[in-house]
Amino acid sequence: MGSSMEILEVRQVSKTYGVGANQVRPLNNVSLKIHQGEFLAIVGPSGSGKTTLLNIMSGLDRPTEGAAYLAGLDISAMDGNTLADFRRDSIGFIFQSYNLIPVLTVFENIEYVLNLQKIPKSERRKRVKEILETLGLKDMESRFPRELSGGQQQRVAVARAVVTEPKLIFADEPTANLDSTTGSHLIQFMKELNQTRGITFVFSTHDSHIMSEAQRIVSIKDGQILSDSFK
Amino acid sequence: MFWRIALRNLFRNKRRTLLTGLTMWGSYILSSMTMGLVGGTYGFVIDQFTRGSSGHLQILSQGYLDRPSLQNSLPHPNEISSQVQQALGQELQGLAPRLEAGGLLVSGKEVLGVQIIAIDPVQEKQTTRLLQQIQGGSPWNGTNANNGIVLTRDLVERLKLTLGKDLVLMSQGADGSLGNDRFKVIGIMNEGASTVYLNMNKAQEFLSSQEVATRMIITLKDLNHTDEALKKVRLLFPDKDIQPWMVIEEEFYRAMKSDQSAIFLTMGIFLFLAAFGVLNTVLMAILERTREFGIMRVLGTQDKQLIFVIVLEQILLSLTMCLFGALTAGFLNIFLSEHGIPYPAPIEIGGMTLHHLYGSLNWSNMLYPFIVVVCSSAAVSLIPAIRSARLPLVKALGER
Repeated sequence: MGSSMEILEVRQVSKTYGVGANQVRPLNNVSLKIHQGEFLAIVGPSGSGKTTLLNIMSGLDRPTEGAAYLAGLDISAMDGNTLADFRRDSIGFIFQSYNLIPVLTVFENIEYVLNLQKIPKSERRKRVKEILETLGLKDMESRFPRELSGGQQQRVAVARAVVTEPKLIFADEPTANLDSTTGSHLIQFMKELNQTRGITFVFSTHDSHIMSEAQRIVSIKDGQILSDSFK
Repeated sequence: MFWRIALRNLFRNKRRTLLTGLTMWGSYILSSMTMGLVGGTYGFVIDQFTRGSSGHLQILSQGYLDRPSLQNSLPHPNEISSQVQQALGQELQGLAPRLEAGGLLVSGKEVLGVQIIAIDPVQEKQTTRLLQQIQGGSPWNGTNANNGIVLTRDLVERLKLTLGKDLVLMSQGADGSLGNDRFKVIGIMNEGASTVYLNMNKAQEFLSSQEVATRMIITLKDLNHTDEALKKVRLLFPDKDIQPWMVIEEEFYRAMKSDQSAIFLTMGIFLFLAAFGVLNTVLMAILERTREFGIMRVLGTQDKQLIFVIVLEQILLSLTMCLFGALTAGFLNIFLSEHGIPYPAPIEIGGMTLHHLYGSLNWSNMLYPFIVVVCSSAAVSLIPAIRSARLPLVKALGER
């Protein structure tokens, strides 16, 4: 564990979809605490509830029961716009299918969140240039996502998640669409960010490489935590 | 950044954007031309009608419209005339006095009640086209000047009269005396019913109403300046009743208004249908990007910012297409105001015969369609935009 400061906690969280006979409960009374600087992987088979848990922890979804606390704040009780501001300022996201904005260039995709944060133009340019350099994307800054390979797009997505210097990054199956070499480079880069900048990473994954790099593995099945092991 | 996103989104599916844009362009042109044609044609009809007899403004004694009487007349019409000329200056086309009374027309054994209208042929000619409606043109010339009478076609037919025949007209003068005189039919008026026209000089003598008129008819060079002229003349004669043609010819005015309303209602239905066409393509464009909008929200875009981007996209498109529409419609409206569209057969409206459907170009038929098309485009995109901003994030991210 990088630090003992608690950054995220879910308390007795359950999630139910549907009603009556069609009711499903992908998450059932889950409690979990994550500390600053952790490199944590939530693992489990498909349908086990790991993405639901990740969504609730990141404020993308609200629990039916229980609560989620991020940096001490109850995010399950926040209204939509406050939560949007909170995500913008404190959380980074990396998705399996990259999810870049197709009409923006690489530079603009990374700049987008800084723009939402109302950071002055010169500062935005400086920070985007820096991250492009770090991720080896400098020559691609004017390209549109459709002109990039999957690996390149995911690197842009990582750059976009990192550029705001968030405390926490959620990554949902970030390597699932990448070949193993590209995947491992990306994991190495995220590991580096974790170690050098102290950014907490929470993965939802099947990827054995991520699992091998993770300091902590939370195993989940049928909506409940099976095991929680630290390396 | 939002402007850039909105603008670039327009170029993502060029064919669809073109289709939506063409609907907006077509709606603009349709509305502008409809307004132009309605304005042009009705403007033409109203102008023809008012110049035909009523004029654009009338000066009357207070209460004359409710109780028309020779005792309630305007003294010294020449003085009124020179004051109006001074006040309206170049705006004035013409000004003519009229004297009106009731009377009995006797021809052989037939006796009919008629309205007597006395006109000054010289001033009337400068003011209205009343004399042009008399078969044979201006009749009070030379020896006919005094005892000539003009009858409406209706009276001529009912009394079985012809030009040159004599008849007797009886009436009560302003002083209460009963007068009668023999007149010669010197003209036939094509419009109207049960009305006879006399020369002003003869009528003033016949009706014991020297130096008075019951109405002063004012015609302006431009019908559209009626309101301003009305204010000026009202200021000039606060003790008199000054009324515009809309009040004098209230029935005609209402008929025109209701006709126009029906046309604008039809235009509204067209625009509504066009808005549905736009809604259809806008819905497609927005719904297929639900996931993308979800990502923008995940990154911290607020609901109102997302709604702004989506609506802005449609506003930018509609503004551009309205500009193109304004150029096209402007050209078409100018062309139609000059050349018009010929009717297959002449059409009668309000006693006027129309041979062409004329257009018109003014601020209202360029600006209102602009506002309607841009606002309705923004309105139709607002509903799916709000939906996109309110959709639960997990659901939005799950859509492809």
